[in-house]
Amino acid sequence: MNLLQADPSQSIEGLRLHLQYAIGLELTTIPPYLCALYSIVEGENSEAVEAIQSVVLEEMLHMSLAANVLNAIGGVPSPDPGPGLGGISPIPVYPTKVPFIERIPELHLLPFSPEAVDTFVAIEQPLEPHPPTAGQEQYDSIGAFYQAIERGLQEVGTEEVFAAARVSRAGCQVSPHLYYGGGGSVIEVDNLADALRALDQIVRQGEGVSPEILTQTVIKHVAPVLGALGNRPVEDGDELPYGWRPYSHYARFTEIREGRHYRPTQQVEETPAGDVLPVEWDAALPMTPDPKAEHYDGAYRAAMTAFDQTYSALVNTLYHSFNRHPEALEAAVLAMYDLKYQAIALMQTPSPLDPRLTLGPGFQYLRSAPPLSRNTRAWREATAR
Amino acid sequence: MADITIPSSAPRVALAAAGSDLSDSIETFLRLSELLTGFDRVELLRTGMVEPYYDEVIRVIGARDVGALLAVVDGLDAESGSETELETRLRTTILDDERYGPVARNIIAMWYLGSWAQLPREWRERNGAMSADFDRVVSAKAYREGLVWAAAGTHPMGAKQPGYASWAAPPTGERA
Amino acid sequence: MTTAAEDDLYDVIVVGAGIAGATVAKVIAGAGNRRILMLEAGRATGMSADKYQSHVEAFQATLVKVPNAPYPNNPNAPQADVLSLRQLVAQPTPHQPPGSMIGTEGALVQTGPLPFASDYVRALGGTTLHWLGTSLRMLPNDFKLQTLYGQGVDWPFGYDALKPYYERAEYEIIGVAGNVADQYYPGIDDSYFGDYEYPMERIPPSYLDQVLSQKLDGQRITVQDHEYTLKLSNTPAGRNSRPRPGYQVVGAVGNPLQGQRCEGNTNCIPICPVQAKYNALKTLYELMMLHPADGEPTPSRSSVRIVTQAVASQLTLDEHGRISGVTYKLYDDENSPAYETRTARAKVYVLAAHAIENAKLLLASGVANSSGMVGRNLMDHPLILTWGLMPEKVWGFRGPLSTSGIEPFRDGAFRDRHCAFRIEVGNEGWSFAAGAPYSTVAGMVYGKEKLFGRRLRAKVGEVIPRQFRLALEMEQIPQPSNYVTIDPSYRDALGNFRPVIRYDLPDYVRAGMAAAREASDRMFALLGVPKLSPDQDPDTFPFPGEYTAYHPTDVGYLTYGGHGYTFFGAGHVAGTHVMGSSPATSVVDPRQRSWDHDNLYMVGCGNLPTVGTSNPTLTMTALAIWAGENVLEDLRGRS
Repeated sequence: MNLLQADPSQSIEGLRLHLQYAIGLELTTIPPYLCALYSIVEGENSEAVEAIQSVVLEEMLHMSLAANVLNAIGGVPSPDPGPGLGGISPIPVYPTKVPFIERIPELHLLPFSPEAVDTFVAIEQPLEPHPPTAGQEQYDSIGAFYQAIERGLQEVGTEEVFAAARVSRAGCQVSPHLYYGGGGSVIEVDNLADALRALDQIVRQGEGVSPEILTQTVIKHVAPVLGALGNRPVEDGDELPYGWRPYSHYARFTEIREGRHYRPTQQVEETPAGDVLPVEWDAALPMTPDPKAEHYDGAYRAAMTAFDQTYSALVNTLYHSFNRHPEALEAAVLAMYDLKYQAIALMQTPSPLDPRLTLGPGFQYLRSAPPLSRNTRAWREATAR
Repeated sequence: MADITIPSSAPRVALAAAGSDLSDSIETFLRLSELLTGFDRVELLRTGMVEPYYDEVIRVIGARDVGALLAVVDGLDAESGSETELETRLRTTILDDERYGPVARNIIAMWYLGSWAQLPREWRERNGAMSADFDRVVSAKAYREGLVWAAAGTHPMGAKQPGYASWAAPPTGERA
Repeated sequence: MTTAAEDDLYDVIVVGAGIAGATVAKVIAGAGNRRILMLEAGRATGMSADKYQSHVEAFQATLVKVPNAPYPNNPNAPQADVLSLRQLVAQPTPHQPPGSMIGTEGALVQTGPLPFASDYVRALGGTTLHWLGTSLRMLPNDFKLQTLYGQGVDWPFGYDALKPYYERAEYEIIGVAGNVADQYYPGIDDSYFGDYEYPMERIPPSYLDQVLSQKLDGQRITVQDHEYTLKLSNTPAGRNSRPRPGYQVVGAVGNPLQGQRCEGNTNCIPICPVQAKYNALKTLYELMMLHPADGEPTPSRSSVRIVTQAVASQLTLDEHGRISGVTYKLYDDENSPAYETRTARAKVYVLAAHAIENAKLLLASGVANSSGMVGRNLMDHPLILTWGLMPEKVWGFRGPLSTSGIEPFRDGAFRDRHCAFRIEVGNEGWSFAAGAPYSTVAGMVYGKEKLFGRRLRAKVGEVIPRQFRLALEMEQIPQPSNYVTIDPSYRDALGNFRPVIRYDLPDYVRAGMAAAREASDRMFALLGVPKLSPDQDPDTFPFPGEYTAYHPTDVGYLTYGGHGYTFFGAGHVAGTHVMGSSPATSVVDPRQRSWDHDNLYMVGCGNLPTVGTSNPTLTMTALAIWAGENVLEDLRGRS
């Protein structure tokens, strides 16, 4: 499939299509992160747990931001395949290679391991975004993909488009109060400026982050912690606050991979050479890589399928919440918890196919799984604002 | 498919290659646990506690007595019959038995609660008291994997939290 | 944590790094230019994410899950624990006249006649590590108990004076989730809240709350000639929920993205695994970040030094009768009694070590006691429990331990005859009431029915989701005859005094228990929960039915009017250095400063002249903010 043929700077349909796949793209990296996260034995590797968890929450935020932008320009978020693109759904099947971005490695569902973290470092690697040259069939990088969307917004995202969407897509914006637990916040998109801010947040926070950070010294690379230092900027020579950590996912995963923190005077692109960051690679449940329900029988298969059902319902609930049911997001958040415990239970169940391994979460998307809802009157009253 | 190196210290999983005595015993222990708890084998396996509990019982009761108990369990399945008949045989041959009954009840409580309760005085006087036989939580993980919580439609207190506002409605899939 | 140099003269020394101490330090530090020393007797374990997690694991691995289960006892800073309680039996010793009772296990020395049944935590962060989080304000009439009802004493000021401090405590210290519109208290009008709203939206009510609301709201019941209209209130709590505009949620210490919402661990007491519940470590962490110990004080910044494992043992006086220093014992290893003695000096001293520990320190030092009231008027909220199985499943053991209460009994004309009480609805089934689910499963497996297999699983699924309980918490009135004192025969590993307690409950409070039990009876009837009939065997858990049972062998058993009741302590220890308008009858003045020493302040629940029916932490925090301002006033006047 060639997404680039639907140039987002040339037509509103092309722009909308790109945003459909942006939603899918943000979803795509979540299952590999979750497999690594949930495979970590409880109580171990707390730094890795924190780092991966915060990434996952931010990816979910990015999905909502992309959906808000798509809705604001009159698109209809949908997990169904785009027209004329070879029937490829935005929702991935694992192992997966994102077809429209070259520099994302093939993504597998793996337990926490050096190979898994290598993939995360590669995904988060800051790269200079190069606009595609003529005849290119893929974007070089995630940054280039979002750059194209940004350009498209500026070209075809006219006030007429936004005005029409305010009517046709009224009530579809996801609002900030439901999002918590991760950095950043949901931006409700009403106009071009909002849309660009939303895109900027996806890029700045996520994988499209600029390679400038590579030459930043770590002391400037510190995540704000509880309004530490009185909200003034960190100066060289400042003592870093208790519990500090670098803010970019790239830096955090690099530290975990190397098993060392950065020294405050190092640059982010250097190999961390500070305090030891203890990582117990062995403290991970040995899940079968890229597990699939159809490889098993009986109760094992039923357990795997139940997970796929929960996951699929979660995805469909997210799309439901992007289509005039923002309250469904609450049910989606609750399903995330359920997903976690089911995943861990699978990863504790010995595999009948290989005694050294366990079952695992297959993250197979079943289009027909009904969206979750707790939309009873009692529930709405109990949780009303 | 990526090549996976199994770490040497990965948690041991039950059911190694067929034919080994160790796996047969654990298989039988799993069967006994199914019958005693009312949870099926996959529900029990997914707690990750089958082998730890097996080890625990051996530690407290001793391998010989455990072997004797498991031999009785093997005998149960040997005869055919309905689930109810099986349960009746379980009751008469194990639960009502002076020697096996208290142990079996402790196994039930251990699965449900994650803790071991000291065996009754008469039992210890008759069969010997082992040093590991005292009231205790088997492990923090055993506590978390207790079956009572799932049976009661909830989660262990202080673990497996279900999420903000989940408590405002019955558990999903349940009706009042 | 670093150690203090002996030559330093601090602006303020705060003894005790729990919520009261942290609040005072925050107020004073926030004004800039100050050097503050905080001395904490216990350990700093909870500050890092890993160490906090070790508390969670300790809790999970403990057999008897009492409030102090995650916080192991420290012989050098022993803390009261409910496990050491037992019924007191006559055990005369050479020190006590025959017929008196001594219980010497645990940290408290109990001389009876009733056991003082509350616990507390001596560690950085204090008892807010294990508190429930309930953040209720006192009612206006609570401040005028003597004038209105001829009982107890009046406060030296009223609710209106404290109101702005309540708001600040709710916003700036604890972070309270609640809806003003869901508060149904007796005897208040619109000025009680004014146009205020809590910083976070209410914690959603539990399914049980909703079931109870359906059956009870609007119902009128009569108890001892007094009529009440029932209505559930959603309980304001120091627990993270959706923020209202302008409020920034404060997550876990050192991991701010965690704990931004309550996730339903159902474990507030004894420990919130994600720190969605407020604990004083959050305020202490803020102090460490904004006012680092080694920084130079500037107009916008102070220096706060926190020293842990430092047990204050004595306050010294100078020739003018002012406090001249605090001597403390610094220990390295909690399992070794070896310590180093140090003294620290400041312009102003603030005791924030807990009602019992504050009194102990004053008595040990022989200061601040011209009134003779130090240690006296020891109060708690003695509570009784009622519990049963509902006709339908109410899905307990989910959500925070409590999300609602029934408040109409907190005030009324009846207070001239019996004490007021508050009803707390519990979301944790029979956990508190009967040790469920362990006792429930044990009963089914080992008891009469000897259930197993599918039948056991099914029965667990029928019984446990129907469990519910109410806690009826009594207002205890101050009596000088209830006190904590010291005795040279009772010392801890470091040689500091152990608290020696004398405690009893007057008829006024027992009559309140009787009235509360009656109210509970009326409510159970409305809920369709009858008393079990003689032919129903409770060991087989028939439902619906009431299972409340008080046994003469229970630790907190007492009798009144021919009936027995088993009471528990709520952990609301108060009154031991009361605030008042006269130095003859109180320890501190209305500014919370000692009448006897103009550079000594007391904060904490020990200041409360009466306790009303609200969990006292919020009130104490409001007072601590006020005390902080008073200390600043003094410091400015002085320099």
